[in-house]
Amino acid sequence: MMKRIFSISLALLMIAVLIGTVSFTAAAKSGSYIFDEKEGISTDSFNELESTAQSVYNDTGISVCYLLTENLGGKPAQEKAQELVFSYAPSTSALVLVDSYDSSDYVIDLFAFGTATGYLSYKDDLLAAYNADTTYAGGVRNYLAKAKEVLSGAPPENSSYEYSNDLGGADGQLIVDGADLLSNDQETALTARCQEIGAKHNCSVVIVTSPALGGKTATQFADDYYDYHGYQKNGVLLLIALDNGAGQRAWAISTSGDCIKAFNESEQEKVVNDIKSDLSSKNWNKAFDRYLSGVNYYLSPHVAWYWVPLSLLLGFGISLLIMLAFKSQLKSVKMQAGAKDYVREGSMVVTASRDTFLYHTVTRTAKPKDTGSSGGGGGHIGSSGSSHGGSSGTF
Amino acid sequence: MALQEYKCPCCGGAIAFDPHLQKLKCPYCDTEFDPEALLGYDEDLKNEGTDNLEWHTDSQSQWTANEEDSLRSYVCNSCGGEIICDENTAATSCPFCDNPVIMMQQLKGQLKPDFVIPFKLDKQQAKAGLLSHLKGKFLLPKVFKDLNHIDEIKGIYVPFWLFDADADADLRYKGTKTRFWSDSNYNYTETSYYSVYRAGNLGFNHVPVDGSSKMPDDLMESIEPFDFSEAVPFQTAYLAGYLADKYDVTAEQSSDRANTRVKDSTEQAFRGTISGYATLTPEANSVRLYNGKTQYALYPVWILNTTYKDQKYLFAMNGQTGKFVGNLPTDWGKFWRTALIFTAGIGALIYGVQWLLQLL
Repeated sequence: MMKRIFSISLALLMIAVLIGTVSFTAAAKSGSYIFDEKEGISTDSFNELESTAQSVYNDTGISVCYLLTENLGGKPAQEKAQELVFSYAPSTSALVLVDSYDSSDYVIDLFAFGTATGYLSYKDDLLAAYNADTTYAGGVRNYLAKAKEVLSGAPPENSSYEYSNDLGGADGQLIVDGADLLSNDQETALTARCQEIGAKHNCSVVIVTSPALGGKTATQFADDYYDYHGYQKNGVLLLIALDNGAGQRAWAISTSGDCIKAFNESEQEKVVNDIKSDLSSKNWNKAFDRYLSGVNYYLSPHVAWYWVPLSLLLGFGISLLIMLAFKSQLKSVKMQAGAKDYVREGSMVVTASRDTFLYHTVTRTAKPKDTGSSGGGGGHIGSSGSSHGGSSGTF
Repeated sequence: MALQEYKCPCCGGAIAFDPHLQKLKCPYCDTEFDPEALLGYDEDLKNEGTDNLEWHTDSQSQWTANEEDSLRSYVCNSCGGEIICDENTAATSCPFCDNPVIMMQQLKGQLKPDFVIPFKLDKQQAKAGLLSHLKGKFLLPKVFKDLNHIDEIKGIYVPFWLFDADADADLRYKGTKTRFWSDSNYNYTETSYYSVYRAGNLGFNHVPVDGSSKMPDDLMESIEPFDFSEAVPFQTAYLAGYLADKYDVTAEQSSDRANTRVKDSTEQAFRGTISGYATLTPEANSVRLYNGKTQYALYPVWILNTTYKDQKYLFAMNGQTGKFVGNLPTDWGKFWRTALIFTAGIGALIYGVQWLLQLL
């Protein structure tokens, strides 16, 4: 009797534990703000935190995100954070707290993107809030609360605004005038042209202007901008930055896909040289218009002008060779070179034959060293891993 | 004064050497004779007479001293007409009765050839040779072929000096061999230097040198080689019906040319025994010649000449092998027209290829 009661209650207890475990343990979850790859947060908490983060976004316009993982996949934490933001978050201005316990590395760090970079000075406060609670869910709750508090105020005076990624451009937008250099009419006209050229050559033709580069180089900025804004596989992007971090105005061209070969560096140089005076004198619309004409010309099949005289010259050379061959048919009279026909059969006797080794010299030339991975002929690889062609400079 | 005419024993007509039969044939009664049969005529040539004999200059007109020396005159046995010819002519035909005559004097004593290669190809074949020579030459002016007006076709026995020589050669070269290998940091090139020495001897038989100053040397060398195995001991009978000259360039003067040719061939032959080197530079070459015999022979050559646009063109055909040579004029109009067409065509092709590359 007692035994039976005991065994039943034990079974019930086990079932309860099982149910409890199920309800408290979480499967890997990812929403728009919270990314739990380690199953450290229960489903209930997860939903609660998601909605909290959503309200923070509604109030401040900044995505406050959290990543919990065991495996960064060999990438730096910042890169992984950036990927998640670009893929899932509603805006590319974000704060991301990463908690990663990799086999080799233990990382708890905070990263900022877009207009949120101004708030990086509050990093320590935010991390402290997170670490205050021993559970993941609790820590995130504190983090979100603190973030809401911080983000409600204006960014601190001495922060450097980094316009890395948020110029207000939507995905696929062809003219992104972050530095406000063009009027709306001009933008519309240029957009129409870009669409026309893009349709003709099956690629995305983009022009981006930005007040600053956010610590990146012009090339990196251009490559990254192209990669993360939903453009086609083939495309050309022109970037104009008013301040490249060294007080100069910078330009960069980034090509992708087929356009890498179709619009190569020397052609880019020609186009840029053509518009440099317009850029320097701030005739932006005229400069961009001429740029687009240049792009249109070089993307189309074209043969350089010098091939006309060159092919004639080559043709003439080859035809001369042929004609001289014909002419030599006419000449048959010449002195004999030797007396080969009159050699007495079998009379050749080699009485001495010596091959004596004298000395040898050895020369060596150094082999050119591989400078790491090359993205194919002067190309560069953007942070998303795709390779680009392109050039950059100042004006 | 001795002119020899070969008369047919049957009908008394003038017989000539027929290349196809390799015998003497009378064109009137078609009888054939072996040259040996007429050996009797040659007996007086066995004399070891030396050079110049008296010449009858019974012409009336005024010749200059030079011209007088270089002309000879004979009286034709058949018609009594006067034959005036070059001092070197040994066989010709009478301008009046067209009988072939042979000037025995020119072939006497020292001047008697040792060998002769009889004609194997006749006049028809010479003409045919010219036609095939003109065929297939793209830049030959069409008019040249069409006119085809050959001024003269002459079958001539050209005097040649034949040299037998033995060459002793000593050749030294510097040779290099290269080897390549590489490791992870460097590409290595090893050059090994060798001194290559070859010595030996080589023999040459019957190297021919043109013994007539009238015959262009390059023309005569171009129709080589002559096959000496078909040469026969000289008999005047073979000359009947053809022209012949005796030599006017001495053997010593000709030996220089022979020596040059022998030297070149020797150097080449021994160079050919060296192999396996990336580069070979000659350092010292010495070829010593031990001239063996020098012989005097008459070789058969068909000479044709024609005039085109005031320029003379000389053709020669080897009377034994049929090899035909002779420089031809160029149709410059056609040359430049064709060059222009090719230029345009190839230029267009290259330009087209450039466009094609763009479209890929």
